[in-house]
Amino acid sequence: MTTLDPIQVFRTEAAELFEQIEGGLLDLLHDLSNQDQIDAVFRGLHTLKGSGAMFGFEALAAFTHHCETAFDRVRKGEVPASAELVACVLAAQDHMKALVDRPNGDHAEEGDRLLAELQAAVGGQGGIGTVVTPPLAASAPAKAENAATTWKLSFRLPSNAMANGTNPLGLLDELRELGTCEIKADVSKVPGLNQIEPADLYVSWQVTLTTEQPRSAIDDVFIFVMDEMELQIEQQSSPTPAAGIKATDTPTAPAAEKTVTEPPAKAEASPAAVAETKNGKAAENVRVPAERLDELMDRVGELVIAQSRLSQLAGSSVDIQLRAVSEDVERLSGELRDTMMVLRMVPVTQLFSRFRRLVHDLARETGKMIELEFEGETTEVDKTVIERLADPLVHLVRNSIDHGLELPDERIAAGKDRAGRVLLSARQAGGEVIITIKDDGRGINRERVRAKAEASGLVQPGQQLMDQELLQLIFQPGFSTAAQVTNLSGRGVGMDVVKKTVEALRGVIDIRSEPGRGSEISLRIPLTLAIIDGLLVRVGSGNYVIPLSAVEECLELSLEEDLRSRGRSFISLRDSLVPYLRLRDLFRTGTAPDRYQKVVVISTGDERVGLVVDQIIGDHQTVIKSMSKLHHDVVTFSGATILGDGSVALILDVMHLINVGQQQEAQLRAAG
Amino acid sequence: MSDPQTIPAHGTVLPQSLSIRNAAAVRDLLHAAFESTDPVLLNVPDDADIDLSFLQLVEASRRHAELNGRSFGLQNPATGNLLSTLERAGFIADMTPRDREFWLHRKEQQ
Repeated sequence: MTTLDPIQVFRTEAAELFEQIEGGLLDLLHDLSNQDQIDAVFRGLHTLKGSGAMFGFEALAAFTHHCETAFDRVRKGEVPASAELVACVLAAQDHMKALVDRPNGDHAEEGDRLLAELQAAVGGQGGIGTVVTPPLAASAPAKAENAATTWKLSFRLPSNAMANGTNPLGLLDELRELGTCEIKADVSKVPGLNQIEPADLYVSWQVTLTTEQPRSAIDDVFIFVMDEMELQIEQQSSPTPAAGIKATDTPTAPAAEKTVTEPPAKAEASPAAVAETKNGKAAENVRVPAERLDELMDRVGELVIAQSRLSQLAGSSVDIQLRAVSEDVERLSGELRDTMMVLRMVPVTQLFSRFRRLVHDLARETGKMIELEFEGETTEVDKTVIERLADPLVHLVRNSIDHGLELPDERIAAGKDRAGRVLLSARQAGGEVIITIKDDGRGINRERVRAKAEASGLVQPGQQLMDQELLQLIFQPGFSTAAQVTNLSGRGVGMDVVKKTVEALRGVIDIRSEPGRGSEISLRIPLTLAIIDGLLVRVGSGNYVIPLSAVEECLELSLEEDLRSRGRSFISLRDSLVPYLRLRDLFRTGTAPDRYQKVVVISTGDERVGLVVDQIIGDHQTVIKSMSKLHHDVVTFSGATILGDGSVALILDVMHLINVGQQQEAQLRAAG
Repeated sequence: MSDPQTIPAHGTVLPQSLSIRNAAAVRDLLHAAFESTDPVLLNVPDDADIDLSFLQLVEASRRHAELNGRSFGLQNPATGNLLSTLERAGFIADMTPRDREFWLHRKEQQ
């Protein structure tokens, strides 16, 4: 197992902070006076700056400091939040990302330009762009109160505070800036050299602070770690009039030397209880690098294969004890597989949240008003699926906005709201997740699609096409109906990539469109890619796996029926004709057919095709292994798996076979 | 623990970076020093980049030395960045005589 690279850890943390900052900024646009969002953005920028400095990203820390300063001023009410400021910080965030990705790159010119814009956005006053190095401590609150109070603080930061970018010395400096401070470190919890984790924090502190600042100023010092730390603040002496202030200026004389224990401002329970709760909360989540999860998945896959071998051996053995053990192992490996699958699942909100920025930028570029809505963000999907769906969804959302949504005036003329609506939704249906991109724009212009398809030779002039076939033409390579090529879409690049990516995920695309009312594109994707339930079949002497999620039903095909239908290859299934493919012929096995062959009817949405096999062996937990690079041109199979006896079975590519079946049907229909 | 000032002047010279970024490497260096030399004397560069992680490692080394009956100390009393980090971290305010002797090489006046 490899040790974590601290720089990589920071980059991961930075990516999360960028998401947090971006989300806060975009939310802020809806309500520019929302103090919670202003605070959230400020906290994100502050943490990014601190972590950046700690991990050696000095340029990032220095640049982020300016944005933080801008938001600090907004936070304090010195300047109002504005759409212009939000746009500036969003652009600045892109620059910060570049500083994280390429810390040694030449970013000075771009940085200066952005800082000038930022300065203008906050009214050209006060500190933005004038400080090069971030200060050690945050500036003290602007308004001091005129009474000195002595506080006794006792605090312990979480053990991972330093590793997460918090600099305890910086916090102590901030306390010193509040007033007269005596700080005592407690090192009693520091273990010996053999036990110490070098990045963990073991020291705790006791601080006696006399300050004229309010209690909230002390809480502000710990604002970024408050939720995870142990903090006790006791007021040792009540506010006393400061020099130059007459006693009569304070209407109520404080009681002498009263000790008041106050919990941290945010906490309702006692500090100890808070600490206990927080510790318990922290223990609920463990961050694990994705590659370790993949390693574990591989091991589980191997276990499933080994278990399959064991079951096969036990099945052919008369040893009852062996059979019992085999059944136990089978049950346990099944449970382990299910648990593993759950571990890999992540909510689609991780995917959807990326589109808020995209839509924000597209709205500015196109002049369109867009309302982006989400549904079913908590739906969980395999993390690999999420990663691979990101690009296709970008293409679909871009196309939806560029081609689908109208400009505000057009929408008003069409009797619609000024703002177009784009809905991203996700829901689970059986073993699949259905992700839908729906807009209320002008819909797909079928005449233009047909004209374009005929002009480019994709269909013959006058050729009869089902509505779905016509709409699916937009996913053909090089197809575009955009009258104008823009930088958003219209180059015909993208939609074919969407289709290929979705099919590579063993998914399908459904498309619906109503002129003047909008379009809806649904991606139906398997929930997981690593292990599937498959139907093991035999064709000739070879075994093959058909993904069970695509199997609709199995029928028997007698030799007589087979001979009778030769040349037509259709079976009648509840009053509809379904084309079928003889896999024996397709795979050129050179073997004679079994007397009673079977037809496995597979479907993807509305399309159905029968696959003729010699024998149905049964269901099979299929650990999917990718085909080697040498086989990347092979289209009939989507992967391979290892069976219990160590032999290899190829996994059929359902989408491809359905396309072949449909083409065969079309040819036969055309031939009359 | 031996009086650091009586130990011959050959120390383990520490690198310039004594911050959390380098903490694991410094811990390994200290381990190696305990395995190869006795007494272990740390030579901390005056302008080293020091943060709390290094102070913790030194405290951990002190415990290690005490448990194993080894001699451990600083070759020179804390000055420069080491001293300012000790001050910032609150190590100076309430020093025991032993701490004062260890970090600052000052013996308690009787």
